[in-house]
Amino acid sequence: MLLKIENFFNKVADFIGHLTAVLMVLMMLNVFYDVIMRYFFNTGSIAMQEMEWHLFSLVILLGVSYSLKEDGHVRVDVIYDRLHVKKKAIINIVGAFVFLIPFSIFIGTGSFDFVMEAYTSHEISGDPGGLTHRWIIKAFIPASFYLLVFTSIGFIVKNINLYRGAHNPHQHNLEGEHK
Amino acid sequence: AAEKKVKWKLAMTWGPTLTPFTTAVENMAKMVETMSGGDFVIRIDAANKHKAPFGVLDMVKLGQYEMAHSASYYWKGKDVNLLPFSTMPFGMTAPEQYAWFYHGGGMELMEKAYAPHNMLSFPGGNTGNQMGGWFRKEIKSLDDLKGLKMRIPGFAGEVLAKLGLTVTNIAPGELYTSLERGTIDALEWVGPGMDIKMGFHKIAPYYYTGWHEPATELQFLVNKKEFDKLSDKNKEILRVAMRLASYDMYIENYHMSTDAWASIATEYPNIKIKTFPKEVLDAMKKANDELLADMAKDQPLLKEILDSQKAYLTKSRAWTEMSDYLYLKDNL
Amino acid sequence: MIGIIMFFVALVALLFGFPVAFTFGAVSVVFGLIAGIVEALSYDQSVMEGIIEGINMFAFMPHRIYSIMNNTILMAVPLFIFMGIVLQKSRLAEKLLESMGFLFGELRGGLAISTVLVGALLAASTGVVGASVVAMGVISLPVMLKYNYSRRLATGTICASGTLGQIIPPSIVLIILGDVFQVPVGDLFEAAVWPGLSLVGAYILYILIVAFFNKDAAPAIQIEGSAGTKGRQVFNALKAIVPPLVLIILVLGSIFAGVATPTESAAVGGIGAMGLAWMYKEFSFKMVHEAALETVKITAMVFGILIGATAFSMVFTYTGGDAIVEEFMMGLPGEKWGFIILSMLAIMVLGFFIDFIEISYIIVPILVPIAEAIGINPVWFAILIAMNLQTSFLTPPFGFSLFYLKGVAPPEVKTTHIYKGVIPFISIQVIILIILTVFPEFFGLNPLL
Ligand code: NA
Ligand code: NA
Repeated sequence: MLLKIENFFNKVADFIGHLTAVLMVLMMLNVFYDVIMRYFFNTGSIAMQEMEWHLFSLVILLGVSYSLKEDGHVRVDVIYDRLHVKKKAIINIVGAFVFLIPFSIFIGTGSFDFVMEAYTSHEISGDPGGLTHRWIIKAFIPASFYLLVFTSIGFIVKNINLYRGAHNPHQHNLEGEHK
Repeated sequence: AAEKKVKWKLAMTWGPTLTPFTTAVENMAKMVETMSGGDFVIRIDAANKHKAPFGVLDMVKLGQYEMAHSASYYWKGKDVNLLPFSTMPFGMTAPEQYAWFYHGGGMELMEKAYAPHNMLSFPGGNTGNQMGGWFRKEIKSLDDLKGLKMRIPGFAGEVLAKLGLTVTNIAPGELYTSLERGTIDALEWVGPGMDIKMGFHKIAPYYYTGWHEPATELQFLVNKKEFDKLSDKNKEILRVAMRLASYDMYIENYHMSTDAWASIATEYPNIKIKTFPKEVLDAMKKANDELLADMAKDQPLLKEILDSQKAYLTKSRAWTEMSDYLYLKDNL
Repeated sequence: MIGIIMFFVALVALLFGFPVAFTFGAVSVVFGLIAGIVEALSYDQSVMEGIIEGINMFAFMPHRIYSIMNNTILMAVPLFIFMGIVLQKSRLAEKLLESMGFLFGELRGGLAISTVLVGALLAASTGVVGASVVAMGVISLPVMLKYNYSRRLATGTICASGTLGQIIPPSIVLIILGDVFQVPVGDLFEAAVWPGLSLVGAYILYILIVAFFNKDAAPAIQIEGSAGTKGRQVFNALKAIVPPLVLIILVLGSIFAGVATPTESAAVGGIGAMGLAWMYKEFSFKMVHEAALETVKITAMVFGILIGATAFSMVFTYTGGDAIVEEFMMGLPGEKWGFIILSMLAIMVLGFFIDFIEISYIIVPILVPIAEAIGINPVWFAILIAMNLQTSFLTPPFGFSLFYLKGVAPPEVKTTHIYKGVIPFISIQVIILIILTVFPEFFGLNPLL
C-alpha cells in the first residue's frame, strides 16, 4: 500500500520534472531568439525579454520539488554518510516534518496577500509592451511551496518505506548520485 | 499615563549608499525623533535589507512597513493613475511642480489617487532635470534614432519606442559591458554625478540633455491606517519632517549636480554635450501627447491629473519665461 | 545576540545531513519565531502574539524570492549548467580536458591545469558563482576522478577555478563594490584583470608543485588506444581541443562583439554545445531532454540554497544581527596599515559566515570614509576587498562553492574532501592578497590617491 502511494507521488514529481525540463529549454531558446532579433534585426520585444525571466522563475520554483524527489538537494555528509539506512530515513522523516514543511507553509501562506495585491490591482509590467497579468507568475511562489509540501509527503512516505526495509535504497537514488 | 513609544519602519527603494536620496530619509527620521523628544522613531531599511526595491509599495500597502521612500512612477504597472506624480516628459520644472503640488491642486489629486490603496503619498525630494542619456553615436536626425538599441525604462521608453527605437531591458550589472561592446547603443541612467560613477562617459561620449524627466520628485509613502493611529502631534511632526527633508534634498541634489558638472567640465573634456535636433524633439512631443491621450482615454482620474498638470504648466510657464528664462537669456 | 546564536545552531543543524537549503530555512523559521516571542514579551504581549509576529516575518519572503526571480543575471546558472551537461554527455568535455592534459605530456597535473584554464575562460563570461562552479564540476570532476586524481586536489581545483568569476570581470562583487565605493565599474574591471590572472598563475604553479612532489595526486594522461607516432597523437589531441575551445571562444566572442550580454552568452553556449554535439553525431532529443532534466535538478539545488539563505539572512537582519557587526567595525583604527590589516582580517572572518552582498553593503560603507580620510586609493582598496570576498565563497562552513560542488559530485566525494581540498587554494588567495596589499605596483595599481 505505502509503496503504491510512494509510486503515485513519484509520478507526480516526475511529471513536474519533465515539464520543468521543457521550460528550461524554452528559456534558453527564448534568450537566444532575443539575442538574434536584437543583433541581426535591430528589433526586440519587451514582452519576449520578460518571458525569459518568467520561464526562469518557473524552472527554479518548480524544480525545487523535482529535485527533492531526486534527492538532488545537497547535504553535509560528514555524519549522515556513516549512518545506517534506517537512521538516514529517520533524519529525513523528522527533517521533512520539522524543517521542510513548516518553512514551506510559512512562505506559501505568507505569499497570499502578495499575490492578491497583484491580482486585485491588475498589475502589469511597467515597461512598454511588457507582459500583463503579473499575478500569475507571482502566484507560482505560493503554488510552488505548496507543491513542495505535497512532494514532502511523498518524500516522507518513501523514507517510511526505506525504514521498513520495503525496498532497496539504491533503486531510488537516495545516495544522491548522478547518473 | 505615559504614551507608548511609536516605532515605525521605513523601506527605501534605494541601496544604503545612494546619496542624496538616502540623506533625505535619514534627515526626516532624525527630525521626527528630535521633534517628538524621542517618542516617535523610524527605523530605515535600505534595499539590501528588504531585498525588494520595487516591492515597497506592496509592503506599505499590506502594513509590513509603515512607510517607504520611492518614486511614484515606478507604480505605473500597478495603477496608471500613480504615474504622473514623479515627473512627465516635457512637463513642469521643479519649482513649477512644487507650486502645483502645494498650491495648484497636486496634493489633493495625489491623495485621491492613493486613496484606493489606503496610502498617503508626500513629496520626497527632487532630482531636478535628468539627462537624456549616453549615446555612442551622435543623433542628427530622426532616422538616426530608428533601430537604435537603448536601455530606457518606463514611459519614456514607450515614447521612444514609438519613434522606432528598440527598447532593451538589461540588468544594471551588465549595462557597462553591454554599452561598451555595442550590445546596446545608448542608455539612460540618472544624472551627471551618478552617471560618471558608472563610467559611461568612457564608452559613449555623446551626452544628451534631458526631455523626459524635467523634475523627478521622489515620494514618501505612508500606510494610511498607521498614519491615522498617530497622535495629532506626531502627524504634524511627520508632515513637517517629510516636507523639510524633501526640500533639503532638492537643495543638496542641486549642489551635488553643480559640483559634478563642474568636475565633468574640467576632468572629462571628451564628453560631448548635445541637445536633440528640433525634428527629433518635435516627434517625441507628438508621440508623448498621443500616448498620453490614448492612456487617459478610459481613465477619468488620470485625465483629471494630466489636465490639471497641463493647465498649471501653461500658467506657470508664462511666469517662468518672464522671470528665469529671460533673466538667463539676457545675462548669459 | 540572536544573530550570533543563529550561526552556531545552523552549523550544528547542518551536520544532521538534512539538505542544506531546508536546514537554513528551518533555522530561520525557529529564530523568526523566537525573535517574535521575545519582541512580544518585551511589549507585554502574549506568546501567541509573538508567534504570529514571527510568522508574519515570512510574508517578506515572496518579495525576496521575487527579486531572485527577476534578477536576470542569475539565468546564467541554468544556462551554463546545461552547456556543461551537454558537453559532458556528448563526451566533448572529456575529450577537451583529456587532450589538453595529454598535450602536457609527461608533465603531471595537466588535467587540473586544463581545468583552471577552462575555469578562467568561463570566469570571463559570468560573475555568478553558482553557474561556474557547477558547470566546472559537471565538466571536469568526472574526468579528473577517472584519471585517479586525488579527490582533494580535484575538488579544490574546481572550487577555486569556478570562483575565479568573482574577480575576473564581469563580476557581481566588483559591480556592487563599484556602487559602494562610488567608483566607475569600468575602472574596477580594468584593475581586477591582473590580480585575477595572477590567481590563475598561482593555481597552476601550485598544481605543478603538488604533482611534482606527489606522484599519485595528479597522474599524467595517456590516451589509450591512440595509435601512430607521437606527432600523430599530438595532432589528434589538437583536433579534439579545437571544437570545444571554439565554443568557449564563441561564448566570449559574442560578448566582445556586442552580440550578447554576458548572461545571454550562456544561452549562446548552450545552443552552441548542442550544435557541437550534432556535429559529432552525439545529438539526440533524448540527450537534450536528459540534459535539461539534469539541469533542472542541479539548478534547483543551487536556488534552494539561495532561497534558504535569503530566509536566513532576513531573520539575521531583522533580529539586529548586522547591528552587532556594524558596531564592531566602527572600532577600527585610523592609521593606514593598522586599518588595512584589521579590515582585511575582519572581512575574511566575516566571510566565513555572512555572504558577500551583506558584507559589501553593511561593512564596506563603514570602511569607505575611513579609507578616504587616510588617502587610500578606492580602486586599490576595492580590489583588495573583492579578492578577499571571493575567498569567502570557499571558506567552510558556509562557503557556497563548497555546497554547489558537493551537489554535483559523485557520492564517493565527501564533504570533507572538498573542505580539505580548498584549504591550499584559500592559502594561495591569502598570499596573493598580501602581495596585492604590500606590492600593489606589481599589478599596476596605485595604493594612494
Ligand atoms: Na532615470
Ligand atoms: Na567573471
